[in-house]
Amino acid sequence: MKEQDSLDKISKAGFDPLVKSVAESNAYYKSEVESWGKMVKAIGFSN
Amino acid sequence: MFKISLLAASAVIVSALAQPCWAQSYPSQNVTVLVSFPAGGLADMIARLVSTKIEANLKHSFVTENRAGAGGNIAAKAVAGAAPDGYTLLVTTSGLAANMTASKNKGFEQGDLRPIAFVAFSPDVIAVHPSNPAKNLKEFVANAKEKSFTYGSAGVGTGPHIGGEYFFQEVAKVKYVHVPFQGGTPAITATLGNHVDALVLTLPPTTPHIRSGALRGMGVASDKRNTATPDVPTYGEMGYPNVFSGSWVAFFPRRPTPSSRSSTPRSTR
Repeated sequence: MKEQDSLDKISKAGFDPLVKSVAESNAYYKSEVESWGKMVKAIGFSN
Repeated sequence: MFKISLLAASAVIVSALAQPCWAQSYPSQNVTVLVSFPAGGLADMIARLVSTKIEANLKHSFVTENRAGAGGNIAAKAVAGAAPDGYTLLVTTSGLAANMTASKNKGFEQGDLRPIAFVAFSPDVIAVHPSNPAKNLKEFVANAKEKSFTYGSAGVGTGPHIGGEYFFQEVAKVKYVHVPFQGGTPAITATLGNHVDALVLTLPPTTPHIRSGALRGMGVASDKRNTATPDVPTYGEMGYPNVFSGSWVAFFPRRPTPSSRSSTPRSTR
């Protein structure tokens, strides 16, 4: 698939671009682990 | 816009991997990019686009390999166990963050992997067949208070399943039956056929159906509407603020260990 085709497909599908520095990525990942952890614990899920 | 984002992500990745904690002449060999999901999916597509951008600026190849399974844990474990030299990268989704709590025997820890670039994000969506009497999420929840409903997902343990359970069980407090399918496509097919009352999935595979009117988007679990489905309100607009779930795609190398740090200054390239 050509690059522009892939870019069009991703954008039209509903993915928004993210731009973060490494420091921001670290902080975001920590917050995501906490957020998902809260949901996983609340519903009592494990795999 | 996405092209600029990919270029920025490529620059951040190269910059992060070229820090003194990695080898001073990085890369001096090809880099393996392990994708947690099958070829052809959006995570795979994004991995290959970013890798191509990086290769254009470096002398070595970024070779993409799909290693799906265990909700993304197989690829994550492989990268967590690789040499901490930046030559093996993981491309995965928000399932990794959920698995940190959900998976008890995954074989790696949160600290084994370091995120260096988040590239894209898409929210989860609740969608229904257009014959559903509820015209929006408020009405859907009100109806569900009176009568139990069924909802389909791409499978047990997927992000939308966890996000859907959390919303219906903890936030909306309604009665329902979860119907797990083997992936998003059969879940969509069942909803299009009106065999389940609702669907919770990451937005992308549902987008063409919502845009065509074959499915009705009830709400997206993000702080703003998505440009691909601008008519679908957020959960917050429907009275459920601060409920967010969705899928990102990000790059992770193994976190450098003290012994992997270079003691010599990085050479000028």
